[in-house]
Amino acid sequence: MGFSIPGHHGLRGVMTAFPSSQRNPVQAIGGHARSIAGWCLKEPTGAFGALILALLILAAIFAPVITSYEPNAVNYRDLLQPPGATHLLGTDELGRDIFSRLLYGARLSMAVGVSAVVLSVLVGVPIGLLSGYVGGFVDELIMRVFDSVIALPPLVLALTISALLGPGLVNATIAISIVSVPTYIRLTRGQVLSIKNEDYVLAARSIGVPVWNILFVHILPNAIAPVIVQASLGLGFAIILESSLSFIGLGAQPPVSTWGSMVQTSFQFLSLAPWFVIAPAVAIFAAVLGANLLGEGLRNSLDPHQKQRM
Amino acid sequence: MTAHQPEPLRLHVRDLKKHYPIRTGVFSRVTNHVRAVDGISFDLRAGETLAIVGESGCGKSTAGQTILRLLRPTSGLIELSGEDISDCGERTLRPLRQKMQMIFQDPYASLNPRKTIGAAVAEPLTTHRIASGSELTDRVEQLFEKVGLRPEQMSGYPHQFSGGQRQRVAIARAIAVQPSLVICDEPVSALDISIQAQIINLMMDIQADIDLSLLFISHDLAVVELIADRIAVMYLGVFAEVGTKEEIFRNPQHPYTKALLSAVPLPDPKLRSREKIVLAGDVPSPSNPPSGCRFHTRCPLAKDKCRNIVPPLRTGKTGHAVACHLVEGF
Repeated sequence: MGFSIPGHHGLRGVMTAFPSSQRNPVQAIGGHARSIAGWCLKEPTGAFGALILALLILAAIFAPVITSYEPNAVNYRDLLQPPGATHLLGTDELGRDIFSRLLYGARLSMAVGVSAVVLSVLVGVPIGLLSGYVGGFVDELIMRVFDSVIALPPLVLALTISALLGPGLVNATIAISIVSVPTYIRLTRGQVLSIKNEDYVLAARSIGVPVWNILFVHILPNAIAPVIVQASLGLGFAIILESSLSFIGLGAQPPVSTWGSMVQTSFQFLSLAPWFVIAPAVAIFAAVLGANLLGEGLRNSLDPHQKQRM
Repeated sequence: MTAHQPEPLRLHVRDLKKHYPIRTGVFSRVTNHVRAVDGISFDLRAGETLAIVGESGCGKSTAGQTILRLLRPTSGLIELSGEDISDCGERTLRPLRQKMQMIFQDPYASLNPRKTIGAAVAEPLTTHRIASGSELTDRVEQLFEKVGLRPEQMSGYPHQFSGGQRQRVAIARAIAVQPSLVICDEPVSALDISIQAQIINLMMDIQADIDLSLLFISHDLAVVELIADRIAVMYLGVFAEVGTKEEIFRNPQHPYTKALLSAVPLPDPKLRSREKIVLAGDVPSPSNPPSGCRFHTRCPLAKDKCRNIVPPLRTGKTGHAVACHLVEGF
C-alpha cells in the first residue's frame, strides 16, 4: 500500500518533499537540494536565521540547566549590578539575574510568537481556501471584512484589542493573531485562485471528489509553500508586537516578564544601568532577525517568483 | 460503426450554450457575452467515437467541460444515458460522475504533483467507495497493467514520469470507475508523434474492451482520422458540418471543412501539388460573432445571403449535416 498517503509531509516537507517541476517553480526547492544540509549551503543566510532561532529556542527550553538563578528571586544586596562573573548580564532593580530572566523570558516571548502564528495560520488558511474556491458573494464579503482589518495600523489595532480583552499574555496572543490573520487569508486565497483552475483540480472535480477533499488534498498541499514563508516572517512580526504590547503594559504582568516588559522596566534606569536595557533589546533583535532571515531563505527556495519583487 | 446501428444512446445534447458574461465599469455591469458555445446538438451512442475538431478558441474545450458539467450550461439539454444532467446540482451529479470521465490535454498539469500516481488512479475508486484496502491495491495494479504501466511504479510521483507515461496514468484514472463516456480534450497533442500512436491504440483497445463512448476533442485531423467514427467540425461556438469520418474526409461540403482538410500536412511529396485553401485573417471574437454565417468573414465563397442570414445545420439523407447556404444536395 505505497500510495494511500495523500500529500501530508509535515514539517519535513519544507525541506525535502518538494519535487522539482518545470511547470510550477513554486514547488521547486532550488534545483534538487533535497537535504537540510544541501539547503543550508544554498541559502546560508536562511540557515543562519534558522540557527539563531534554534539557539534561542534551545536556550529557552534548557533555561534551568544553563543558569542557576531563579528568574524571580529578589536579592536586595545586588541591585543593578553591572555584568560580571557572578551575574553574567548584571542584575535589575530588584537584584534579579538579567541573564536568567532573559532565558525564562524567551520561553514566553517565543511561546506567544509561535502560538500567535499557529493560531492565525489555523484560522486564516481555511478561510482563505474557502474564500478563493467558492468565490462570488462569500469571497467578496470575507475579503471586504478583512480588508477593513488590514486598513488599520497593526500596532494600534493590537493595542485596542488587548486593551478591550484586558492585559495578559493570552489576550495579547489573541490580539496579535487577529491582526495577522488577514495576511494569511489573502495569501491563501491568491494561491487558491491560481490553483483552482489547474487541470488536476478539474480532474478531481470530474471524478466527483467532494469539495473538502479537493480543498485539503489537492489545493492546500500545492498552496502551502508561500504560507510557510509568511509564517516564518510573521513570527518576527509577532515577537515585535508582543514586545510592544508588553512594553506598554498590556502583555506580561509582573512578576512574570517577557523581553518587552524587561525593556520597559529597564527604560527607567537607562542612565543608571544601561546594560539592563541592552540585553532584552538584543534578544528581541536577534529573534526577529532570525525569523526574517529564515523567512527570506525559505522564500528564495520555495517561491522564486517573489525574489525580484522584494 | 455508424450512428445508424441500434446501439443505446449514451449522450444526447440539444442546443447547448455556454456564454460568459463580460463585466465592465464600477458596478460590474454585464455589457456583453463571450459566446464560447452557442448552440450545439449531437447524439453519441454506445461504443461510438465522435470527434469535435476546430481551431483554438472555437469553444470545443468549453463544450467538453460543459457536457461533463464542470461548467454550468447557459441553456440547452444534456442527457447522459437518458438522464437530464443539464441543470442538476453537484450533489446529484456526484454519483453520475462515475459514468463520465475526462482525459486532459496536458498530462503535466492534469496530475497533482504532490500525489503519487498510484494515489491518483486510486482516487476515483475511493471517492465512489468502489474498493478499499487490499482490493483497492489489486484494482489499481490491474489498471496499471491495463494501460501498460508496471504496478511497482505506483509509488512514484508524476514528475518522475514521461509525458506518455503520465497520459497512461490519466487514462487509468479515467477508466478506473468503468465509465460509459470519456471526454478526451486533446489527449495526445502534448505528446511526441510516436507516443501519440501508442496512446491512441491504447484508447481504442480500451474502448473496444469496455464498450466506451468517446467524445474526442482535437485540432489534429490526422489523429481524428485514426480514432473517430463521426466528426463534428466546430467554428466559433457552432457546428459547421457533422458527418461520418468517410463523409468528412472524402466528401467535405462546408468551405471551412475543406480549408481545414487542405491544411493537413501530407507525408507524400507527390500529393503536395493539390490545391491549398489558405484562409485569410483570424478567427473573429466570440464576444462579437459575425452576422449571418459566422464563417463569412473568412469564406472565399461568401455571398450577400451569407452576411445576413444564419445558415441552419441541415441534415441530408445519410445523416451528413452542413450549415452552409451554398451547399445543395449532399
